[in-house]
Amino acid sequence: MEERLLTIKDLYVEYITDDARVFAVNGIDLAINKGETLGLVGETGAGKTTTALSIMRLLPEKVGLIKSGSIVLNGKDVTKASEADMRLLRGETVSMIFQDPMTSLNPVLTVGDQIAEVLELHKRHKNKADVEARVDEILKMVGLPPERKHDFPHQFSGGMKQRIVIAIALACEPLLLLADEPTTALDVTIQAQVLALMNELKQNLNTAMILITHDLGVVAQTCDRVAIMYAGEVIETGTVEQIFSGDEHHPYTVGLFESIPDLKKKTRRLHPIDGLMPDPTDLPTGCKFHTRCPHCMEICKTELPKPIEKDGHLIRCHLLEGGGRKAEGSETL
Amino acid sequence: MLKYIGKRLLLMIPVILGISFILFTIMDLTPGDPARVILGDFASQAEIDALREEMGLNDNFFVRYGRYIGNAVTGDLGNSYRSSAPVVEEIAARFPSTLKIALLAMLFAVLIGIPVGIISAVKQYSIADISSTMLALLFTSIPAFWLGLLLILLFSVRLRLLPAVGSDTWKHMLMPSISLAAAQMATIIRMTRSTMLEVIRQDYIRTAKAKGAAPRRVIFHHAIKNALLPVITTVGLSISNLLGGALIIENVFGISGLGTLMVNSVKSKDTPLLIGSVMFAAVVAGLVNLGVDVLYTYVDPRIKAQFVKKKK
Ligand SMILES: Nc1ncnc2c1ncn2[C@@H]1O[C@H](COP(=O)(O)OP(=O)(O)OP(=O)(O)O)[C@@H](O)[C@H]1O
Ligand code: SF4
Ligand SMILES: [Mg+2]
Repeated sequence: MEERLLTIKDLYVEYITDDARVFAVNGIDLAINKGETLGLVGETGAGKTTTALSIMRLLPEKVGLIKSGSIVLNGKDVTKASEADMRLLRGETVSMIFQDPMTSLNPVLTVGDQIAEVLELHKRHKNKADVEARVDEILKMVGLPPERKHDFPHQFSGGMKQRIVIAIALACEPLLLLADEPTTALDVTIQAQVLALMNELKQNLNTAMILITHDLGVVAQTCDRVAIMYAGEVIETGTVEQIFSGDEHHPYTVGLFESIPDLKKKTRRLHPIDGLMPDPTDLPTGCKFHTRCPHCMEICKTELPKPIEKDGHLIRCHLLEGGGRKAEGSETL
Repeated sequence: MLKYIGKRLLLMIPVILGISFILFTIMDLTPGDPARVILGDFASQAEIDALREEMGLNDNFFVRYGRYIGNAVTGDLGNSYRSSAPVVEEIAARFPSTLKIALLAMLFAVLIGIPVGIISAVKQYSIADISSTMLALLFTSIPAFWLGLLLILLFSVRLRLLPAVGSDTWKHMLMPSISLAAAQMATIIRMTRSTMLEVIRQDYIRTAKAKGAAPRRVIFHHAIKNALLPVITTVGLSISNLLGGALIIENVFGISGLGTLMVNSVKSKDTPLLIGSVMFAAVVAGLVNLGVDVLYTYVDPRIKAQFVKKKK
């Protein structure tokens, strides 16, 4: 039996601003075992970043609020931990790589100092010399010459900056890495390099990872399991095989795959899903996808579908009810 | 870097030439005869004519200007018409008071402005933030001389705590520098607050938090240095403003500094003294701005990189 690292149960997150109440995450369940990679996929605004920030408990102060649910990371409930406990977890147990490497590094500190900081914060080494030695080692690990630790961020290219960000994130060998679209800001050739590097390092360190991405090709290459988010809910989750070649899918997943040319042989034509994501301040009742779903039924407009499970493949759609699948998790809904 | 400083110093030359030329022209066009200024109202026309000839005042305008600049380059700014003392000495005697007021004001403005601005930003919308923002708004709208008069009314006339006029002790310096500091302090508060607010929303601040850094470390180690970059420019600009303001405030508090010297020299049509002191003030302002720019390159590695060649 694999060891469970992270369990998110029935998580609700809202952003409360002066003029609106945004329902960003609406009751998601996620689970990751040690060393596993989970791909988190969904359109913009689906709540992917919000989910990751909730795990770090770094939602914007006073605005982003975890309303209910639990996030148990390595045996500790993040939603109930004190701020001091969270500081111990951040950087040490769980690290995050943000989308834009251009702005993720402090422009007035040398990159060496920025890597050393995380080691010092978590008291990884007894003295300065050991810290420096480790900084050199990490830089080599991400493919940068250690002499460059004295340079400032503006002296590096985008791809190199993202390598430094990865170095910072992995310096303390965390159990979980949250990578929020780590390659979107980079150009295509560099994207592949950086992804390969992340993959290699996470294998070596046996780090689990949540990889947030729009790129289904990347998911197919790197992930063990996939969760597909829509309007703050996980509407389908399963292994990469189940999602990419299973015979039953959520209508949204089908639409998502059809919007990628050449991935499925049946449709080569680009076929984006009609309509827009619902307004997160005013979500529809029932199935949140019903405003765009080609199979929408009466029940879909009023009743939220329960997740239906088969061999760990969960789908949240009324179409599958009464089929070969058993209803699951009804107590959490 | 040295090359840059040299270039900036060279650029100051045309500015100073321009200033002196304009002043020279204005003084030349305004009525009043320097020879009469020197000899007084009771001198005879013959005496005046003789002196005019001796001073070369009958020469062509450009000849006189050329002669003035020629002397100025050697450090001779001429003699005051009124006191007949060398202008350089007059300035040297008066400038320290002006500098003292300006520096003291600077110190007040920076030492209060920056911390208040930072607290304001970190505790946005708190009572402290709201009151400091209101205070800053108030201080920017009050002219320094008026604030000076209010302070005199309160501390000298009412409470009899501080002397109203003169520049002998540090007590004399207090009110002038505070009235001078108020507006600059307000500017620094607002500037620090707004850049700090911007900085703490940056991604790299989130990165710092994601490493497990405590709030205090995030502010002091990651945010302040970034936030202070634009503030340094503001401070630099405000030094010139403060010097300019000091010239005015001296007249309110009857301090014998560069400002009163200038005003008196205009009143008495003391051309060498006026041009000399204005040129001196321009040089000081130019040097201060240069100093600030140099300082800037040391704080911001991105700018420093443009000057320092790679040593590898
Ligand atoms: N600070 C905030 N204040 C208010 N609303 C926010 C804030 N941050 C995010 N939101 C809203 O929350 C919802 C979810 O945002 P989130 O950033 O989690 O989406 P995402 O899936 O990461 O999208 P993307 O692919 O564009 O990064 C969106 O509707 C977004 O507008
Ligand atoms: S529940 Fe209904 S509306 Fe929602 S995806 Fe399934 S069929 Fe479409
Ligand atoms: Mg996002």
